[in-house]
Amino acid sequence: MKTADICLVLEGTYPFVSGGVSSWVHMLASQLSHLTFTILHISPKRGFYTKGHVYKMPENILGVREVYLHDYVLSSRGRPHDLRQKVEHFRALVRDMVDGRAGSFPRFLAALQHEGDEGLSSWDLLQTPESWDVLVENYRREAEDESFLNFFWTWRYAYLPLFNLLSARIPPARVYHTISTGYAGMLAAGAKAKYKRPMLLTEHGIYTKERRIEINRSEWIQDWDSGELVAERKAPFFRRYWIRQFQMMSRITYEYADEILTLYTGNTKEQMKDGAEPAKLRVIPNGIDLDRFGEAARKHDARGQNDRFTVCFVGRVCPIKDVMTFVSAMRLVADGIPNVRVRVLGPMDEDPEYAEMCQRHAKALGLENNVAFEGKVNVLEELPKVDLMVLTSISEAQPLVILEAGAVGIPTVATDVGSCSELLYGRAPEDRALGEGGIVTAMASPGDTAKAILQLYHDPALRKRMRDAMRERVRRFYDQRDMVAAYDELYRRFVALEEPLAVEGAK
Amino acid sequence: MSEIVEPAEATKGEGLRDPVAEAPRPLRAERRKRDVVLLLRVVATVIAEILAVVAVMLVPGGKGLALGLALHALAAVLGRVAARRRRPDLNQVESDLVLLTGIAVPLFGPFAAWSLPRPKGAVKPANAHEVFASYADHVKPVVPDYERTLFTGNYEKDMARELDVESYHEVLVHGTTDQKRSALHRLAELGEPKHLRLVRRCLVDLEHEVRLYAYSELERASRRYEEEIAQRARELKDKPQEGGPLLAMARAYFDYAATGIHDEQMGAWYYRSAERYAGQARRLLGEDPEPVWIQARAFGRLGEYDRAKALLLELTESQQNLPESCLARAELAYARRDFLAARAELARLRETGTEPPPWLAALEGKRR
Repeated sequence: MKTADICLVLEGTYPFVSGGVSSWVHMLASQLSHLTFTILHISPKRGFYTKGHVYKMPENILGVREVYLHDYVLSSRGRPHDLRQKVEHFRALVRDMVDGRAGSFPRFLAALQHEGDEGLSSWDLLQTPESWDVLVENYRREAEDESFLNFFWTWRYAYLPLFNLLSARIPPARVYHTISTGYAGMLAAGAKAKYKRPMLLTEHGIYTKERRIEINRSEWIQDWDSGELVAERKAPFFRRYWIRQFQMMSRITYEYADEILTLYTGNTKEQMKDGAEPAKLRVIPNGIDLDRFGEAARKHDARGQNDRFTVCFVGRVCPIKDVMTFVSAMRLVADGIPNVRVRVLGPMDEDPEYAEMCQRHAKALGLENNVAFEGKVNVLEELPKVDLMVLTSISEAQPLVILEAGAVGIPTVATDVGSCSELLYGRAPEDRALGEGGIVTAMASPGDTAKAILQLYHDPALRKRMRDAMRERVRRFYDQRDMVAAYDELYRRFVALEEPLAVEGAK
Repeated sequence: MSEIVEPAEATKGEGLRDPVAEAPRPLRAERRKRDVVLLLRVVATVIAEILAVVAVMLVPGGKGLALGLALHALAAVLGRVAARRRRPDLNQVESDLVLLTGIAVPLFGPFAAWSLPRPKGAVKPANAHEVFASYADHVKPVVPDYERTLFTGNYEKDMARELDVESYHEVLVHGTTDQKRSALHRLAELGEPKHLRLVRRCLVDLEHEVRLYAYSELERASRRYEEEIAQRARELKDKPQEGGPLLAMARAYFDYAATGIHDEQMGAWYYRSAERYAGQARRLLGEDPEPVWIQARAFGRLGEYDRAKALLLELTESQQNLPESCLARAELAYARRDFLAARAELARLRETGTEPPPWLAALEGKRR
């Protein structure tokens, strides 16, 4: 593959999955047409994304290379002559991970990234007597009270994907840019070590936090339960183990990144908590293409007073968006505005079971005549027909849909997650002085959401004030051109670097 | 056969004569020597017993007990030897003294060990605070004390724990994220409305992570009810003109509303639906008291007490001793804070042979 200016290291997103991050990547690559990109995408396994690319990629994306997390090739390439010494690097890495340090990562990476037969293979690290000793040693050190069998498999599933990634072929590029920490971050760190080129990190949501929540909520991890009705001071061992793995991946990514970018200030606190160096942190908020929304805004203003009041949800129909709460809230709204029109606009294929449950729920609540699940549509065409945007997500970073609705002149009722309150109420004092662009409600509270919607329905003057405030806010603070210019400047600066970076321990 | 004369008999009527003093000189020296040995044995018995008592009192744990028992056994053996060595030529007083020493002294030990106050340090500590205090006197800790003892360093919190008043509520207010997660999980497992209401309150916790844990517990708890309602809806679709499916639907809605999973408005909506379905079922089922009971309770939960009362009176007339109607009337009275009426319903409920729920039973014996 030709050397690109930027290699975007992604996990489970563009160009295979649609959503906020994917749209962001697509927009960035399209806007920076003078730069060339390659995509290094981490997929769970070969053939996982059956639909192929869901975006038409711009011409400056030179290619997409997939790396599979769970497609293992466990075969021996013969015993390296210095296996014992190299396994020592692995031992040191594991010890560091347990102790919350990342110092031995570069040496381990160097041992793994040796070309040809000299490099360590997954076989060497998981199937040899030396690696067995490391496993047993660690079991005795930290998990002797736990099931060895569980520890053995947890160990395997924790390290095997990591070895797989770190020994993958990485396309050459002048800058590596990862859009999350975790596996993508580790791969980008590996790329930096290998090619000694700069590495950037942009975090939309905080990966470690998302994984921690996911692990703590998951039902597939088996816990030993004392059966006592007490509040445990610590999460059960295997949950802690997984959380720690992800924390360490984030820490290593933060250490290797030359700049750490995020969308809003709330995220920077989390990043510092996870070990990011404050000097590397920078906020570049998302922005939208205002020109695209000019026509939609004019159409929206022409909307008649007597048109059917329309409430809209835009987003993927999946649990994190809590569409169930949205539907419940609509039941209460319909009690107050019987002819309310409710539109759910967004793909329903991410979690078909959940989408079906939401539709069933709407039916059970007697909303057949009000709620319509319309699937993926052209938002630009539909927004002018909407009076109010509603977002009931339980987790968000910086939802573009609020900005898009704001640009058109639609106030939003959103839950208090991510940067929603920052977007609706303002961030800096001059931003806040513009006034409120919507109402923020408690999450999973249909009553609160419905109350806010009814308040806005009954007060057209308030809606108008919010419309004006939101339009102005988006125009002044969330212009896509500012965001693209910031990334352009950043890329240019790092692409232009000629001297190879000094990376400790790299080959 | 010659007559055996007891020493006491031999001296009878002759006053108290000292045989040692009357004995010839070499024999007297030998007897004195034996007396000294006897005295030494008695003294050794006393010392061994005293040591046994001291050992039990001062050496903590099993070691002290073992040492005490060993010394006590030694004292008992010495006492027995001393008692057997009483010589026939001793006078009555000396003889009794030796006998008393041999028997009584080994009994003194257990009594003393049982009755004497023990010095501090050798006593089993009453609680963790005392363990900590005695421990701190002797050892310089390597890690902070509160980490060893699980104390937080916050006096009030530790005291609450000592007094065993730490509750889920306290954990949800002051706990760490992990503790809160665990408490939320436990509360959801308990699953009573009061527990789920507490989980619901954590949806506005300062930490987003805790809010998500609360959300996922509520979501998990609601899943079962959602499935139940979906199932009932299917049945209702198949048999729209039958009372049974309508009643089942009313029951499902009422149970869901009563869980505490929902916020106030949504909960009210579910109660309203339960009441509506129960009303339809009632028209089809005629004499069946259950739809009326569901309707009345739903009205009660919605704060429409007059409508609830009217239904219950109707129910009471048709089903005088139905435990449910007693219970519902009691609930209404309780909600109005009319505890006298609630207590009267409690008595009536007991007459039907039904065990009242704890909140109602608690009214028994109360003045108001």
